[in-house]
Amino acid sequence: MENEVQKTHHTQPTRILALDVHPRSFGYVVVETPNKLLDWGVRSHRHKGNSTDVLIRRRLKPLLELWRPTVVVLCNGLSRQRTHQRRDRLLKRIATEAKNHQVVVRILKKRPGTDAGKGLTKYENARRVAEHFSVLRWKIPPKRRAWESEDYRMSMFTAATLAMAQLNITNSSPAPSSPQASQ
Amino acid sequence: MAFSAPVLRDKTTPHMPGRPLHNYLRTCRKKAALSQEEASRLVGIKNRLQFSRYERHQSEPPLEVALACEQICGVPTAELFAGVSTTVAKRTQKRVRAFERKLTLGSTAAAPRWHHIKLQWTAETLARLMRHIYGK
Repeated sequence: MENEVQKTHHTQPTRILALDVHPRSFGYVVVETPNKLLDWGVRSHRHKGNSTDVLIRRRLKPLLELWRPTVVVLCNGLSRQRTHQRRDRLLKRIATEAKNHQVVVRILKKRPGTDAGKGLTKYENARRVAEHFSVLRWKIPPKRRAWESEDYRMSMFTAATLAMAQLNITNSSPAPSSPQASQ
Repeated sequence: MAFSAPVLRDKTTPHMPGRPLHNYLRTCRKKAALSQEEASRLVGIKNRLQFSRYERHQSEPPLEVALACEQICGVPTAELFAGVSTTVAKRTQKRVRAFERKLTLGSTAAAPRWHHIKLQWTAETLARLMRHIYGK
């Protein structure tokens, strides 16, 4: 009986913390299994002072300690703009902090769902995410008009897209038609 | 459509399966769109900070609060406090193992019937605990 028991293998879950990083804020999503969304939200610091430091120490660190993820997924779009350089520095700091917590860091080159041919907008991606994780449905921001800036909640949906890419979640439903997509 | 993206850097270290979290109180609360204050009132705590401590596993809720959480979230306590449950199971497993060893040392051919019943029970309990700790 005991020999039978000792053959049992671990089937413990892999927790993923996906982050969509901006210079002064980040959207995050914690996913355990393809259907188990644990936490979601946006953390920001828009006051005076070193926002990178505050974002890491006061916003990210509690998340790493609370959820103890096994993988941190980030997205790094290559650019030479000044804001992007600031974001890259923040990405580096996040990767270092994650490694300090002994968490595997995975950096994606491109935001998932933006491949040539597919041409999905951020809003369409958000819709897909909300279809998969129904708890996020009431958080979808309204479609952005050309003269408006992006809603802060969109960052959370982008993070969810990263998590879904990491988990290779397939969503077979057709893309919602949006002729006036603006992003 | 599958969400997939090319990987720029993959700092692969030996993949370790994640341990279960201490509890899933925060997830349940957020799914119901409740604030900490509302949730704490619903489970019968006056102070929302105390509920925050339970969420962050800085303190353990008493049995009454744990059962109230179960009833509000609709999730069994063992699932809601998965990490705590696993820790308790590991400790229990150690004690049952020690008990089994003690029984095995004292077993002889002429041992009474209840001795064999106890041995069988310990083996079954150990199997059950292993399933609980490591999953099915």
